[in-house]
Amino acid sequence: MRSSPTARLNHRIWAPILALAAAILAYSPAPRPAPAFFATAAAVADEPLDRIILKNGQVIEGRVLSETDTQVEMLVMVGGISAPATYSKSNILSIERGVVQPVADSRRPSSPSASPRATDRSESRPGAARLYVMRLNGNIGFEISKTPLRQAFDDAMASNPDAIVVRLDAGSFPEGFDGMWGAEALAPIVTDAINAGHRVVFWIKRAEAGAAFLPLVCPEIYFTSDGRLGGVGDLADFNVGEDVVNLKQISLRIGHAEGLAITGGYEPKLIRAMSLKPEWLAVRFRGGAPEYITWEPRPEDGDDWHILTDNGEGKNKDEFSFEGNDVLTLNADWAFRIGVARGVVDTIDDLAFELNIGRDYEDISGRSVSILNSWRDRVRRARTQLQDLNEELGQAGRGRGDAAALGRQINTLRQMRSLYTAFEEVFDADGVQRSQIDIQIEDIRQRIRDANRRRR
Amino acid sequence: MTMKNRFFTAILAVLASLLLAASSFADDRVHLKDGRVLEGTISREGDTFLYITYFMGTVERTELVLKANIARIERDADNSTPAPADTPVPARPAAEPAADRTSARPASPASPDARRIAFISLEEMVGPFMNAGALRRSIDLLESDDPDIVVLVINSGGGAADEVQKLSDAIQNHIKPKYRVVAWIKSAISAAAMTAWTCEEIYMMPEGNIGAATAFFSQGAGAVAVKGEELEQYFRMMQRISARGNRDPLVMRAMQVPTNLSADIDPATGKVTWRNDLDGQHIVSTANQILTLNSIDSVRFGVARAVAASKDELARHLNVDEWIEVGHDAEKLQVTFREDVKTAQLRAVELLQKMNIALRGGDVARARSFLGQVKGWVRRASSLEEYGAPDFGVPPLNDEFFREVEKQLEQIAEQQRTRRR
Repeated sequence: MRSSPTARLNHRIWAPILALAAAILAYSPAPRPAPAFFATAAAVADEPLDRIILKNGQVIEGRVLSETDTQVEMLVMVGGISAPATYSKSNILSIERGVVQPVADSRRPSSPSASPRATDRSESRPGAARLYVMRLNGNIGFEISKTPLRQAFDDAMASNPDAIVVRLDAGSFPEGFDGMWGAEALAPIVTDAINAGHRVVFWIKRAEAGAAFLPLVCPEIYFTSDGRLGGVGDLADFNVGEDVVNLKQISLRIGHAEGLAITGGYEPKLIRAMSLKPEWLAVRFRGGAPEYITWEPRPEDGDDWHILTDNGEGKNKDEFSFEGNDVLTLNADWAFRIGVARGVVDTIDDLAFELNIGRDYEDISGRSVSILNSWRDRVRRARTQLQDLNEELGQAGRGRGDAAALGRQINTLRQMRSLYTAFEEVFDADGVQRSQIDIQIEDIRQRIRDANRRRR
Repeated sequence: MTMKNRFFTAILAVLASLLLAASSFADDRVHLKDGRVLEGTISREGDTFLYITYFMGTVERTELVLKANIARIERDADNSTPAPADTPVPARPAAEPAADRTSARPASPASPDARRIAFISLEEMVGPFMNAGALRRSIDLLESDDPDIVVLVINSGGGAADEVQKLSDAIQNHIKPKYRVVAWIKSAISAAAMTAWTCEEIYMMPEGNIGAATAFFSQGAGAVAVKGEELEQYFRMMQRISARGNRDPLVMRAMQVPTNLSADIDPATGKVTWRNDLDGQHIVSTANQILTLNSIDSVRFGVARAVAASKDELARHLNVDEWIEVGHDAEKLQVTFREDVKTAQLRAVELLQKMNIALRGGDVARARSFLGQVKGWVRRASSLEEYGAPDFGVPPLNDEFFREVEKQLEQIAEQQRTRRR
């Protein structure tokens, strides 16, 4: 944890409260329909509205509720929906007050209970923006692999949506840092779509272990309010032999993972903090932009440093390895503050708003649901079948070994080979399993030949 | 304010915001030290880099730019911000200041001014797959294509250190005398990094990495680092190869063994001076690390000249305005070679085990048949003669190996004949 015991104690007490406050105040967890605010919106509906123009070109209209040196809280109004949102002044180009005449909105809900989802998203509406939402659930390297992801992206791109949203709730197989290799293998599918001109957005609920690295190739990331990115373990524990060889292995892994972060435009220093317990990472904000140091802040470094990770030694050692700051796991609040996440949203409506698409959009999940679910079910079934067939093979091996039994073993092995071929990217990427099966079949055939020879 | 005034104010405000939104895409201007000015939107920014999205004609591009290469930034077109004072500049500024390198584009084959660029991919394990013999054969195929530039596209996690000298020799003696050689790196780890070190001109893909060149071997208890005289030999080899690539050997040393390494960068010239201590301006590696550089740091410290995400972008960095890709046969040879090696390794392992099964059954003729098939695969994938299938514990499948096996087969056959007599 933190360097001083007092700070540690304070941190434990205040961290959840501060995190909650920050999540509310820091900026735009996108407006959610809140019944209490509809009345407010209606009450002010006839007065001219204010306008904020963000540096990214986004124009927000609504009512400025409060303003400090660093941020502006605004009751944002889009269509009939209004909700408070807070914007950092570092992102604001201008604030114009009373410049927008309110327009009577026929879509304004007639009662506080009206849902913004009332529109039927399943029907195509001329002029409506199109969001292709792809849900990646499971483990990268197992349920989430090249074939289904490529198919899902192909389907998404064929639909030519305004944005492809990849909702991620995933870990990796294998667990830990080495799940990164699976993520790296999938990364070109994402970057190909981006390079082809498609807007790809990752929306993260859980990006754990190797799955933490996949979203980093994408410049647009949003988090759910309980979203997490990290949990990759501690590479410093890597042990394949002598220390120097371990250092080599750690170094090359960090190099690969940093490359993924650089691809998406993220600070590569985050990777070492995510992956190595001994690494310090502290951040402060200057002009709204994060500034990092990779050592424990010293007096000469100035003020306002937040320690994202300490060295995890002695008094800094976390009590619970998954909850502390020995290695970096980004929650929604910090992801947003350091610019990894562009926003924090919990519903697709909110995400559409954040993407500047507004309320009038279509959710076109297309075939991705069936592609991904079907693959997931089939690969899980294949794993069970392989286990069963393997057991069957073991039992057969203990039997009498007559020609008929040996023939059945060959049949079992052929079934296994078919499964390895069908799901080679998951179970047999290098073809070794199938090669071994071919050898086993040859061995059985030789035994049959030997038996026949003895009979003669 | 009258109703009319309010109406016009609102209209003006809307128009103003629309104009602002329309022009927001080109609000940032990044002035590069090579004279280029990129106008667009800075979409991401880190301590040492930024991404800027801009239009080239109707094509949207996003380019990674190191702050070291930036003279100044105009944000929102009215607020000039100089690059941070402590930001280093690259060791080698662009050789030719180009007025507008964004104009690089693939040319039609008929264009007489187009430069001819061959892309040769070097991938997978150094030795069996990334192989000097195969590289030489590819280069031989380039004769009729007459390229101006040969780009070695490297993506390898390393492999046999013994192949490094051969690959370096192939690049130095076989390619450099004829063509301008460029290494374009997706991943160059270990022996692949040592190979790339031969090239004076290294460029990185954004996801690229180079380093981790520690030599080791596997033993029962785990991986063991090479030490003693053997390690000294590798040091000497890399000193020679560093000289070929016009590189300071200290950098490669930090990739091979844990070493303190820091750098001073002359703010005026960009020249990088390396030190094997931690007293330099920038600490690059320490005595408890092995060095692997990512794309940004590679350029920052002058190991690479620039980051290029695409062939077009690479061509721009090479100061090539118009280019055509040549050398397809040479590249096809590499792809086919790797496929053949992969298949041949698996088949050789399988066939040798089948040969043993046949021998267990006393079927020498069948065993010979399997051995003959192994020979066939080795003919298709010549690197098996030297490396066998190291991942599967198969030794080099050279003449000596085959002679020895055939001798044993003959002995078994003779024993069978004796028994029958």
